[in-house]
Amino acid sequence: MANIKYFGKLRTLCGKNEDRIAANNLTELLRAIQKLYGKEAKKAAKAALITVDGDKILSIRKTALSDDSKVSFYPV
Amino acid sequence: MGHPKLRLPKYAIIDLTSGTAADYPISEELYKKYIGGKSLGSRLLFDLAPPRVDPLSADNVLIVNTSPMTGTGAASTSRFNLSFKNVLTGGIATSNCGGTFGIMLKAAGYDGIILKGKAERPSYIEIVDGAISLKNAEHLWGMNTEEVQEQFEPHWGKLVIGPAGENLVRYASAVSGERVAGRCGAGAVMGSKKIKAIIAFGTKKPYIYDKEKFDQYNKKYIRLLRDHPVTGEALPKYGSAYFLKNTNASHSLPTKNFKMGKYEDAEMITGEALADTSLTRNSGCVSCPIRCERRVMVYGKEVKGPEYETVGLLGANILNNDLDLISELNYLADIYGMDSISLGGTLAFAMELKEKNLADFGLNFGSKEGIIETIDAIAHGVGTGKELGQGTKVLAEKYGGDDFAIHAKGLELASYEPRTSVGMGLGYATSNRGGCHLNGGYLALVETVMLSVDAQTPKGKAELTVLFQNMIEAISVAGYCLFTAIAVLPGPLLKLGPAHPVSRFVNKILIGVRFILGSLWKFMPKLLPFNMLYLLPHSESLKLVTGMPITSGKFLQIGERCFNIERLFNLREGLTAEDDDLSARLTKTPQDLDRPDTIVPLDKMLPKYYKVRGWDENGVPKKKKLRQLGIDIDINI
Ligand code: SF4
Repeated sequence: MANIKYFGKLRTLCGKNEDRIAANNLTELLRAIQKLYGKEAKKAAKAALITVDGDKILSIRKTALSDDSKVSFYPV
Repeated sequence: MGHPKLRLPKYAIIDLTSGTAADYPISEELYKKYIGGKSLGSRLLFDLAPPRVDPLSADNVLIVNTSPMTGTGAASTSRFNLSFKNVLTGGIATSNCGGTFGIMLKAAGYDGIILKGKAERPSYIEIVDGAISLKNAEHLWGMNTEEVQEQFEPHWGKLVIGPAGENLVRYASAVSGERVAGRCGAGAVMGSKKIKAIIAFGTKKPYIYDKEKFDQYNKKYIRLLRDHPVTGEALPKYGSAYFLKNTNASHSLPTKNFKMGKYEDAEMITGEALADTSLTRNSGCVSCPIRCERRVMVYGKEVKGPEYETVGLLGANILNNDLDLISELNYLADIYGMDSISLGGTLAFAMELKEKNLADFGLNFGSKEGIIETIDAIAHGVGTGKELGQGTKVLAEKYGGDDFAIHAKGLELASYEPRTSVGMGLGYATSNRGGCHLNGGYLALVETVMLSVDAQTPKGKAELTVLFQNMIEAISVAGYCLFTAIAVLPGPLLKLGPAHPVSRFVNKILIGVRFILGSLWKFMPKLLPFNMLYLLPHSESLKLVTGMPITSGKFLQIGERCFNIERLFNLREGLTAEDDDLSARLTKTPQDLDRPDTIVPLDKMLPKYYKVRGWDENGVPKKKKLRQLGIDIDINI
């Protein structure tokens, strides 16, 4: 279960500031966000500055997540 | 024959020694070339300050001036400038401020004032509807910047110093309202001249050549700023501290005196955290639609909150994760009249001196103990504060630690760790006023904060640095807040996010077109004989306000000329290419020991930079370049 933090528009779309979602990688996580909160939320998440354990992610496809990964979505 | 409607700026020269003032005519030629603000200020300083003058002597000259846009009501144009010989570097100093003083100075009938000499006793200058007088300020001496401003009418423009300026703290600031001309020691120069305050009031309207078109254009410009994801959304919501999670995520947030670039407690001090916890509301400078200012509660009252630089340097850089304490330190720096960037840099250096057993100022990384007392001691020039008020460079000369003394030319670095933003490193090293991100071209914006251009490659960084340095100079000369430069980066691109394939492609392109960018300057101003709202919105505004035939090309050349006159001043004052340098920590020790490329490869970037600038291998502008820019100075280096 990755620990997720939402900021900006995503907070409104997801209706919460924090989350815990099971995902092996970022692609899975984005899919889960779409399933839980809709297409708009996934779109906003994709366009956000995504950090995993505090590091900027430039390639969504290649990023694996572990159980205690901390993922943040910030508005750019 | 002059331009039929060209209105020349009105300047006064005030001799503080004799207590007299006279008009100082600005010729049409000078105005057309240097326009106003830091450019005209630097040229006047070059002409009026005696070579190699001591910055804190009566002979140093202080120019406080406005730009054509100041006070016109156009978006983000309340700015004014201070030019003087830099207390920390011995070179050029320009310092920009967003308080109401500039607007009121213009309303009082002057576009700029030049101060020379030294008052016999603590004094203040009053400028009301064209009349200038020097008045006794003995009763104001010792007051902080808040108290002294309360002594004057609320609607008057004020520029004041606090105890730090009086006590010649080398990084003392000058303050207008709650806005600060922070860098380079402007407050110390005012203090050395025994000037506690300059106040201005008047009813004159600023000159606008074509008011109707100007107003229409400004409306479009405001729309552009409001529609932009950064100037319209992120900055108003989170303030500039929203940069912090970006720099931290790129390992470019100065942490523990720039030893690291990532702070484990960064999440506790981001702009987002501030918005969630202590923010009461946002606010801003006069006529600014961006409103990036934070309001927070300190000592039971609402005051201006910390900006990104302050959060970085009084937070991560000293391992302080307490946002409330950062707000408190920021407030103290403002009321004592001290630059929070240099203060944060100096405190971090003192902490590392202690850690390495080189000196003990009673300060430790990650400990709150003694910080507030130390800041008070610095401002009042007592105890350990006397030495800490000299800044990092002087401390290193006395106690050692040169390899981790984080400054350029003597000015402490801003809050971007350059080993993971090497273009910013080149900018710091070549910035004319020392370790300044803005005068350095602010490549951190495209390397870490907004875009993600390869931050480790030296390729293309010379070309991009010159472009951004010249552009930022021009925007400042016109009188715009430099945050408006962010809107030059296309909003739709930023909205895609850094991981989007198009964003990644653009990042590559910016490096790929370096050969074109590098040769632009040979063809200026003819290369861009037009103005475009979405390319460089500021140039059309400047044209409409002055009546001069300004194009984007001419606008950028104004910036280039400004950068070169600043460089010439530095060379005349004895600074050389050897001073285009950074501490060994940044140029020789990799931030990540497993990645040897995490250093600032200055040796690879500087020769190219000089070439793009049209300077020789010693960093001296070539005659051909000076001729192209119309700079009639031969300083025979
Ligand atoms: S963007 Fe911020 S600093 Fe700049 S003029 Fe507006 S409020 Fe002032």
